[in-house]
Amino acid sequence: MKIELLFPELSTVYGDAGNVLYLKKTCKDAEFIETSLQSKPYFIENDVDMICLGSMTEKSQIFAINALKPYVNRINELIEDGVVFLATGNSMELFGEYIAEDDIKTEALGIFPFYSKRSSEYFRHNSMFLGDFEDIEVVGCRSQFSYIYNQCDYSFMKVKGGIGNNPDDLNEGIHYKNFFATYVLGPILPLNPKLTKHILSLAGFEGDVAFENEAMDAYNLRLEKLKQEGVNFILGEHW
Amino acid sequence: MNKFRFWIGLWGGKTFLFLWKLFHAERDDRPGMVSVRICEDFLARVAKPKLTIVVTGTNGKTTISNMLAETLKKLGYKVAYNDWGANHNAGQARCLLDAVSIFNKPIKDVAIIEADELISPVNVPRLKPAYLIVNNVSRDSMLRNGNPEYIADRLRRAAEGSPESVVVMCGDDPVSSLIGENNRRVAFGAKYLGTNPLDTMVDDYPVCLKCGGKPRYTYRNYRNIGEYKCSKCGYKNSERDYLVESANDTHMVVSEKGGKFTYPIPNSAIHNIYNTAAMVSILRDIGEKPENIAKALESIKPPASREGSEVVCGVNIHRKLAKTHNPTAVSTVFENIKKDKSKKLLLMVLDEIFENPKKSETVAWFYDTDYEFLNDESVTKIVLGGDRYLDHKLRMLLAGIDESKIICIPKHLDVLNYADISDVETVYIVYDIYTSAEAGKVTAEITERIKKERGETK
Repeated sequence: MKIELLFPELSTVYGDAGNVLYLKKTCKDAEFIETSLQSKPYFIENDVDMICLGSMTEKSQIFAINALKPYVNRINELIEDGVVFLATGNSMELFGEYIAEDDIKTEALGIFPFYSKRSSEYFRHNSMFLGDFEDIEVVGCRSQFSYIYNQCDYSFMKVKGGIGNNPDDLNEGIHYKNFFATYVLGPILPLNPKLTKHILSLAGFEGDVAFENEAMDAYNLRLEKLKQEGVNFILGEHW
Repeated sequence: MNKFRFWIGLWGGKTFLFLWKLFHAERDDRPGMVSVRICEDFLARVAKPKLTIVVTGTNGKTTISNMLAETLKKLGYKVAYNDWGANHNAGQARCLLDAVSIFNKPIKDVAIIEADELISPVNVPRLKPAYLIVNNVSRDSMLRNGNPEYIADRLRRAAEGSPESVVVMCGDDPVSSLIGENNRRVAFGAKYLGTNPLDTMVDDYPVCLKCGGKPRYTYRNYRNIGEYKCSKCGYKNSERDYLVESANDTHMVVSEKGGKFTYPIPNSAIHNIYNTAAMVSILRDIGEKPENIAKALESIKPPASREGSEVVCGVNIHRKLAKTHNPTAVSTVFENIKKDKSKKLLLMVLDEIFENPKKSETVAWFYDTDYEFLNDESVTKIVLGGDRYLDHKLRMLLAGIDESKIICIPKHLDVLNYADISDVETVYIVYDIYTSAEAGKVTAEITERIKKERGETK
């Protein structure tokens, strides 16, 4: 099993380094290819089973878009071929048409027909999250400057607590074939052992996720707390 | 109308300040709150001493403000400042109420104003200080501060809004290097001081902010603070006007254009060396002589810390404040614990206590924090109490810590039930701002136990 970590040096904000840590501890026999911003992506000339990238700063989003733009056709091909993609936090925005900051638009990869938008005042939204992906309940949190709009028909999760792609949307993330993108942080993989198991199974992994019992204990407790009546999901929006 | 509101705000605030002082409650923001509530742009309208200094950045704001105020006093200046870390509108107004007369004329030589990073783009242009000190920019609470580049951008906007301000900045900090590019800048820094920093899980400066190239470090004094150069575009440290050449436990040698000078430091902790370098830079820039600065610094100490250490019957007990949600702060505590090679027990009382059980808290910061530093043979046991005990346990296991060393439980004070002090040389009590009372109880109980078990005379 080959897992390519795209720009792991950039994907280290908002706890998303935890997803990589969890993958490495779970898929002990997998080959991890760490592709830095300065390197040519491994997936261009090689087959991979899974490609991951995570939350990054706003400037890093531009660096990442520029680095991936020459390979949009190949990325589309891999998505159509069923390669597992996992893009967490604002790395989801890379795959839309553009990222707008007030009226200034940065062209993104244009793989899915949505756009993201933030204010130049950088209002920050924080909330907890509870949603459904098929029969799996997903827990986590949100912390972001921007939202996505016009997300098309490829919803990843249905929101049960917190917000979706934007405050008026009860759909969260993008799911198309084996492409998964979500704003949900947590980090999402160690906080959601069931979801991790499902996504990894699509990449050919069989077996338990790392410290599955302990991860399930933490997951069940969080689920129980988030399901209590009157939970305060929205933590605030401010600068 | 605005003018009228300003005068009412000034006199209202002054009246409250007088009453607060009368009742010995002057360490309070509320007089300032009165002023800014009455007059929204009070901070812009109130007169400022000619030497107004705003201190901002992620870490060290309160320490620098307090130490700089004390040093300037020793140098003969009349200084207005607040020493309790009040760094929003009310605290800043409170500071300036002390600096002016009822006729809005400055009555102090200096005002030292601590400024929260988020509010700086609004308030620094209002305050138009002579100096803006940016000590460093590093990862802080995700919920509040987003990411370090975002904070650096807010401070860049702050400096842009006050173009006459001289920006005193850490030239070793690449994240804050873009702040004040159009202002006059005074940069301080340090040569490698033998700090031997450990590699961290996350990097606040993974790529050059100019071009995305990979930064190369000649050295790091801690985290990403050091001498760097982009391998692609060549972007590198600012020329450091004041460079710490060397330091021991009590003194540091700083080079500048005019030569090398020795200054006292409160202790050899690397952050205190940088804090003192920031102070020396500004004091030299206003024309104070090195010998006078050195003399004034001799008796200056950092503000009393909420941390503490003592030796009880031969056992070291350290209380360490780890501001949760701030991965830099917690990782630094964990790094120091790892570097202490004595056989140790860790008692951690970390998570906030929520009276409202329906409120939730994120744990994403666990994964920006170097729990891996606790995976060390010198750590005999980690006992952690807090609401998110199961998440902590998972994080510790993922850090490679042996399960037999980990006890995680929901109640803070229950850590005492599992605190086996036999055979340990050191006990660390790691706590959050919100759990200081619990940490106090744990410390007291552990101290008593050690005395009882090991005997007063040892």
